[in-house]
Amino acid sequence: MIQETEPEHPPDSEELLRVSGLRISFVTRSGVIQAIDDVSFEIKPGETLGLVGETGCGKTQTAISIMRLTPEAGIIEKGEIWFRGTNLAKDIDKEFRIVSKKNRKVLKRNKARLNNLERELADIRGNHISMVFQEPMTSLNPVRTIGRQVSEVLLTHDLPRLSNRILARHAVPPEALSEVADSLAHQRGSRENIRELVGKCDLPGLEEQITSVIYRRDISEGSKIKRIKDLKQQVNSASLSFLRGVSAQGKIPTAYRFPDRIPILRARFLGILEKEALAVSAELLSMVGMPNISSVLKGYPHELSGGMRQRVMIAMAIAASPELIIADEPTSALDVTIQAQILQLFRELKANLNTSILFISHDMGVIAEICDRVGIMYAGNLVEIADIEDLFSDPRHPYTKGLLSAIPPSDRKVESLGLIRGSVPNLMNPPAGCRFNTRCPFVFQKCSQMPPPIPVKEGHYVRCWLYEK
Amino acid sequence: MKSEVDPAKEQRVLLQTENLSKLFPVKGDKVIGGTKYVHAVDEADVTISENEVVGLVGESGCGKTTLGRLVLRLMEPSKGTAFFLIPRSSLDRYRSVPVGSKEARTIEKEYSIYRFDRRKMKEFRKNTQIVFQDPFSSLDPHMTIRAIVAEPMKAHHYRPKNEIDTKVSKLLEECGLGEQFLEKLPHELSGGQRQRVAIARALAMSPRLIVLDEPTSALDVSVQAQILNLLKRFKSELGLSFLFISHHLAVVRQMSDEIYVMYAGQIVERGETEAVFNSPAHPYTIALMSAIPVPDPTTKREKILLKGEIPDLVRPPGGCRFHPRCPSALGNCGWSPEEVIASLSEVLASSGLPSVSEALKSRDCRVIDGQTFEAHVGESLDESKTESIRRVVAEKRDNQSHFALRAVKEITSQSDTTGATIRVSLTMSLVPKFTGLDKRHFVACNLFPPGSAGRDGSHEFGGVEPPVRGEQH
Repeated sequence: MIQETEPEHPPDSEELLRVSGLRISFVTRSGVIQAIDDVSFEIKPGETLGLVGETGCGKTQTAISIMRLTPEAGIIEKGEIWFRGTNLAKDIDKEFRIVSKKNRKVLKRNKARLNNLERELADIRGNHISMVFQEPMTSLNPVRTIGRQVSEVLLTHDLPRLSNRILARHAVPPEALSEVADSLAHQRGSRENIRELVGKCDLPGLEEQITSVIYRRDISEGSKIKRIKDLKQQVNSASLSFLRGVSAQGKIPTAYRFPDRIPILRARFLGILEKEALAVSAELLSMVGMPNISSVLKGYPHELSGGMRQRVMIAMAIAASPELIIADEPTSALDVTIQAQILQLFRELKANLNTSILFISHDMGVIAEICDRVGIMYAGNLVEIADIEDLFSDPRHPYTKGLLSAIPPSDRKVESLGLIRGSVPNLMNPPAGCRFNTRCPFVFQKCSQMPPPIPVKEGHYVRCWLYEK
Repeated sequence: MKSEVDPAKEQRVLLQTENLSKLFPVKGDKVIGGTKYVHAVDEADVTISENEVVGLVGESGCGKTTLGRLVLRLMEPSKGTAFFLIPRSSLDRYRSVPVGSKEARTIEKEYSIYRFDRRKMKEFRKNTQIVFQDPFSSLDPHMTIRAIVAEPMKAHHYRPKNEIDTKVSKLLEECGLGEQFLEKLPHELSGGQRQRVAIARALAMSPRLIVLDEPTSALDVSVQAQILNLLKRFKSELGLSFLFISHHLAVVRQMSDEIYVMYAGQIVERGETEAVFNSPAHPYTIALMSAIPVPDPTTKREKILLKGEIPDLVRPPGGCRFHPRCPSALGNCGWSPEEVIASLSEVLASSGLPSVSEALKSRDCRVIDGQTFEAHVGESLDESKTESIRRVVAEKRDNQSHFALRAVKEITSQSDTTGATIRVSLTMSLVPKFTGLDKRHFVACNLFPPGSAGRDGSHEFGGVEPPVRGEQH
């Protein structure tokens, strides 16, 4: 159980996330499942990477290991997950598992390290990396209102932003606002135009608020202008010092921790932020195309349809402006017309927010529509990774070829669909070498060894001995 | 039924539903407004011929599974009937006589699956089978595979008894499962293998019709391909008919000879698969087909994104049920006064007529009948103001969120001492009826009114853009 010492090297600055040599095993009563073996990929800022594969190929486990949400039985045995200069896979799990009751020192050290890691992860989860799950029914809290759930993200991660918003509104002279509103009343144009126009008006801290009112799709043009004029907010001096404290420290100042527990004082101080968080939630929901926002905010998840719940999930995921969104089969539970709406939403978010997305799906069609690059997973291995056009026009790995030929085409009728013979191997005892070698039509002697990623062309790697040069 | 072969060998229709409807009562307030119903299936006419695969597509909740269960008499219909192996002449006769007449009842008694007596029902059950979506819950977990496949044969007293075992092996063999699976339990099998068992079980009594209710939705794409190829082989080798229910359009295209597109409980388009896929006519079908994600990153098709979601079927929209979401709705598609009032008050609010808008929203607005409503406005309205309302309506009626304004036929106003009354009358709405676009392609949409020549009247069929495309916004 000695960890191999590999030189830790932070990734190039142009990469947002780099996973290298990831290996995850699940310890069960009947044996060790080698769920993921030697998976490496990277995501650049603004890029959408797709992970495709069939049930049980490890695509979800790969994704949630980035957030270190792997279930208890799963152990990250090896590998690095670099995100913004932090190795999220450091303090590899198995070290924590050396829990010796006799040796209190080890126990204490492990506990301290675990706490540190948890703190570090809490800062990253939801804030820098967020997730959209497949089942919007189960991933929302059924007993809390939508408004509360969306604003929770903001109250947890973005307190300074909330208080800065209020402070900006407090500081602005009302005349300046009506000036902007009047100039905007006659201006209609693209997002860039509006952004530029608002930027010219020199209202620090208010640009975002004004533009988000303009972008809202649920209110009419007339009331938008009125809303901009009404942005001015007077804050009393007690709250003002509280808000300044929050902005300066990035959290609730210690002096206000105690009054926080007294309801009347809580309403006075934290209440301002909670109200602001609800307002931001409304903006977020309008960004994801939610109708009837005011009633949705007060409503509960069961009142919404599947597509609308998924929109709420996406609003929560983008709430803290994360650098990376992990979307785990976000459209698989939806109907095809609703799926088209949600995919359109993802495309808009990509264009407007410049967020990187790790998009997991079993549907090649969905992947083709949304991703820039795509990785194919089979039985815990990443067998091929390429730019989206390359992968579809020039698939190399026999599994990728089989998978693509098995998709029923929607534009023509074919006599029979392509087949991959056999079935997925049991990962408790995977075939030695390339895990596809039991089903591969081109299998030869060398396949009993695991091939390294072989470059086919720039950015296109395939793990198959057929392409060895 | 097989025993009563018609001496004239008259052609029989395997299954024909006539105005089949199913309403489910909803729990709730029965005192006010009476019991409410979910209109799950509404007047569906489906024809399934021998050795034909009929695809039924639609989104979740559109009633396709209910329809599949109705044709197997797994539930009783609220209205309408379904005939099994009815001779064409009897069917034509049934359609020509009034509903409920003596002759109609005689025909129903003979061929309607909901009127079958025990003996005929047993025969019907032998001839029809179903394969469910979820292979994990449709197989009894404590029966061996052998027992599962043998069960229908035992239930129908298959003779000779001692051949059951060999037949089970043969069936499993044909479905691609070897001897080693016979004594296994369902939990030891993968999803694809279980679905093969379910298919083997369905084939056990050599049925004529199998309802496949989303048979591959729970499977991975490579396994799905295996199952689809298997089903295709059985269709051609055994001469079976399938009712193939799926939300996956590409799969339906591969499988079926004819497809029915359902939306909110109604069939909106039906026809030969290739004809419907190559030139869909109903706006819903067009949107549905454009929404299929294509596994090819180089084709960037223009997508038609439907606004909103499937309506609540407790109170389905009047007229064509698709009209609130339709990207090319007309004035006569069934807009209710309420829809028009909501749209009108919204456009007037942002067009400098807030007083009229308020009046429309207030209780002063009353609906006189399905086609007229009037509202009392606190201020006087002269002709120029009425004219400006008309102008706003004319301007906004081509905006997709305000298609309801297309239903406005006339706006009049009448001043009195306390203000004025504005009266709006609407176009008569028309429930769409099926129109033939060609011999084997029918659509129920007001863009294609009955009696119009259809597309093959003036154009060559297949190469024409449906007119609806031109009206996209």
